[in-house]
Amino acid sequence: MELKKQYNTDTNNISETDKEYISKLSHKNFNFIPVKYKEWEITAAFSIIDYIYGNGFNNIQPIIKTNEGRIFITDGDSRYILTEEVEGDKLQLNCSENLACCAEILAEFHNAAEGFVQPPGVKIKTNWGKSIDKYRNLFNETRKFKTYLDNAGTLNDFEKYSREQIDEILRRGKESLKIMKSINYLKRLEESMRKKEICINDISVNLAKISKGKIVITKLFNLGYNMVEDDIADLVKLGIEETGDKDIYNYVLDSYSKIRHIERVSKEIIKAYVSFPCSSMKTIVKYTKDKDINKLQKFMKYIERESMTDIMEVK
Amino acid sequence: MEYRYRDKVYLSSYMLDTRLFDMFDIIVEEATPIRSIYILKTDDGLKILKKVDYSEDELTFIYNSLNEIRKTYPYVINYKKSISGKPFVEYEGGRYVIIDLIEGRECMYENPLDLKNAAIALAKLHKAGEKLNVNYYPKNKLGIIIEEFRKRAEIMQKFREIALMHRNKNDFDKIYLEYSDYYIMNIIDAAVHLEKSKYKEFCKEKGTLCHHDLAHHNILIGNDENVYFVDFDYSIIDLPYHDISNMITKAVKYNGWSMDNANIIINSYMEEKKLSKDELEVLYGYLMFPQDFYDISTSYYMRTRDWDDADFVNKLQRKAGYKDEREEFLKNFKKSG
Repeated sequence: MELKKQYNTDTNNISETDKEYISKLSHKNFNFIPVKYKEWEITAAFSIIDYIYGNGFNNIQPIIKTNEGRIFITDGDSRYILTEEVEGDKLQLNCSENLACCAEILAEFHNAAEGFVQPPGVKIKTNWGKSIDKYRNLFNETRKFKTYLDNAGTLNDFEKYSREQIDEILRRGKESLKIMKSINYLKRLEESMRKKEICINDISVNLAKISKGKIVITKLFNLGYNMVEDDIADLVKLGIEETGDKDIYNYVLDSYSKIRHIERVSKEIIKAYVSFPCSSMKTIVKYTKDKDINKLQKFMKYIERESMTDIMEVK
Repeated sequence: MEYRYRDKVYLSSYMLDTRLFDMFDIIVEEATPIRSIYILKTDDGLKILKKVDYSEDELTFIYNSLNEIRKTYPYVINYKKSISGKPFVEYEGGRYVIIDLIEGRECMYENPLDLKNAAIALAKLHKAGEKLNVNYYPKNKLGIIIEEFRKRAEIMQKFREIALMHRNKNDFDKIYLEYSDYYIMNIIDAAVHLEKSKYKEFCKEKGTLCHHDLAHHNILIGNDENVYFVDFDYSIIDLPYHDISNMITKAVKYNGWSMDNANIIINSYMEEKKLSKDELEVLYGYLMFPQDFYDISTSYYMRTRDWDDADFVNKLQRKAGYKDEREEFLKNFKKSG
């Protein structure tokens, strides 16, 4: 692979590891990372990252172009991107301090990315409306399963446990969907589309690293249009599940709103998203397709985790 | 065959050279393949180069119809005329068109606002197409849909006979035989319903240009926030309920066949163009036709697609699999009348 020629990195040496190539300069390290994404997904990620760097946000791993202006190179069937190495540990999202820092970075990201217009010929991931669609489908499938349970004769262990839990699951789902079907939700969706809000759409325990004292987002390939409430809710939900503390909702929102204002309507939407028992319902839907009773352990784990995330009554 | 490879095969049949572009009087700096077309970076802005498989008559009609529609509803694709004045060129055995690229994003049917705006735009498109010269067109379906439904029921019956004849029935045959009786009855019921409705009367006065392929990726939300319709390759002249039922089916089938999206479409469409109770009855007749099941069966038994057998079976399983939800949806739709 002619990495030197493609990127003119003027490297001292290039070493190969299992997954990537590491190119070391005297003062900076670069990674050539194999990526399994399609061309348009890589182009989309680059376009957005380029835009937010232009707006002064650099807490995200960059993608570096080749000499000829290409965003990736191919070697056989593989695609590689060049990025700066992010040395450091994963940002642990299991304490309020880290979650608060992450919330601030998220707010800065949302500010920097807002207003992004896809360049001509570039396709961008668009998630507006997907959340409500997903939750509505999960709710309807779960409701059908309840009907099945009510009419079934002998139940297996998974089904017996489901019958104990399903009323509460559906109650929570219904409460959340009431918010998502409201006029205020639609107005907020419309506003997000008008402002062209961009989200990370991939908030997880692997979201970011701490590199030389700086938080650097390393999740690059799900960036796209969406309501910012989705990202905030994902962070809140993850934080509550990791810490067991419902007050994470307030920590995260207080920190986020130091940088970017959150309207009351948005807070209601965030609560609705967080409180929706998504993982429990997903397990039920998967069970209805394959009838695999071995899902019971996982189901019980999700029920326990999600018992902490009903925050509709949190002020 | 992997989808990307099928596109590659089709793209490789394009004859990309400057002589083709000269015929359109454009200078092309770059050509990027996307799905089965090329995006061209030209001296006249970004364009789409598309190789088309249909006749000159069809292409000319689409072009002329869209020019007429554009007078009232401008948000449809625009063809670039060649130096000979035609909207296409013939080159090295292929017929090519160049279309202005519309900057924007695909409509998302999961997004209630996109769906609402798309339905309103569809009503406007239909209004704009009402005064077309509907008598001149090989794809004029006005008045013949009932007959067409009955013919399709016969075709599906023939497929049944073919499947029964196979001594070693494959997975596709088995699934087809399990569901075909039910869907053939659906088609016959649809024909009977239309016969009893005001379908024939409406055909005398309510025909318009129907897009006939309202997949979400054929509706673009422009950067200017307008709703654009693209890819009119399958367009026909028929009653507007044909398009409305097409949009409804595509919008509901991936979200549990819930009435929510159907209601958004109907209510939004009617903000622009009212539909009477009799018209909704005719719309229901179009909805009754099991388009998905018919399409996949035809593709398989008539070999109109070169998919792998596994692909065919997966698609058939999926489309047959939502039989109960579809039935429930149709019942709810009729009730909401």
